[in-house]
Amino acid sequence: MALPVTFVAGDILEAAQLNSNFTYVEGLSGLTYITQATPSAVSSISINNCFSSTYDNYLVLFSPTSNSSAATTGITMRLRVAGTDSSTNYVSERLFAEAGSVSGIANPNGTDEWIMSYCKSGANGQVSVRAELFKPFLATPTGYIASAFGVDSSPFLTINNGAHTASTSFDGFTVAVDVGTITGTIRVYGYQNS
Amino acid sequence: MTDVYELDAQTGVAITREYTEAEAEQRTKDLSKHAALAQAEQDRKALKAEVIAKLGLTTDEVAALLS
Repeated sequence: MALPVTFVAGDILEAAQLNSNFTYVEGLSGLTYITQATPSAVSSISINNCFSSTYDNYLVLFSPTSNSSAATTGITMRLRVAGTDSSTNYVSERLFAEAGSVSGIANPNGTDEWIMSYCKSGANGQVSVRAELFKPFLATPTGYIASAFGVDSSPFLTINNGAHTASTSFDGFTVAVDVGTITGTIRVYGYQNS
Repeated sequence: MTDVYELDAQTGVAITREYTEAEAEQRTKDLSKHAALAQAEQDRKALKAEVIAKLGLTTDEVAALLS
């Protein structure tokens, strides 16, 4: 049937037509909300079963509302499957810009995790991170692009792009901080494949 | 303090728990590695500052060079 089905006054509304219209409307959005985690004062946040065959690519948004660490601490990410983090095969390149100075470094956190960005306690420790994961559920290498803006002693931005080079299907991820604990909301969205 | 917040996106069930033994072991390795990486980054910054000092550039010239 051609979608959307258009009804006029007096038509009989068939369930199949209505359901098809709902499916059609859902498909109009390029981005679909999957889940959110609302941790409070923890050092690691794991979200399981958020990746599936429904979407190839995902968006993760995270902006901690508070962090207990007085010192600047890294926010890291690992992919996971069946409740266990993967701690090998990560490669990445980080660009860091602060006060007009830019630096780049390969594998800033080694090859056993990705860095997302940095944060610390107080108003001058806030950061907003946007991470995109490409094909984490497919048994192919996973792409990773994370950009963030925050404030430390001065405003800074980080861009961390990388890959997990193993052809592994992952169903979730873990975000962690090096020092202290974080509170906030992590939201996960799926990009519609078509 | 709780270590981990874990959410199952399919069921919507969230739990908080301590690290497992394996996770705690990995966390110890991570913290040690991060400390070493942070020190290496400080060393690189110090070396950069040393090189800039040797070049005798003004603050404006350094900013122009690094931007």
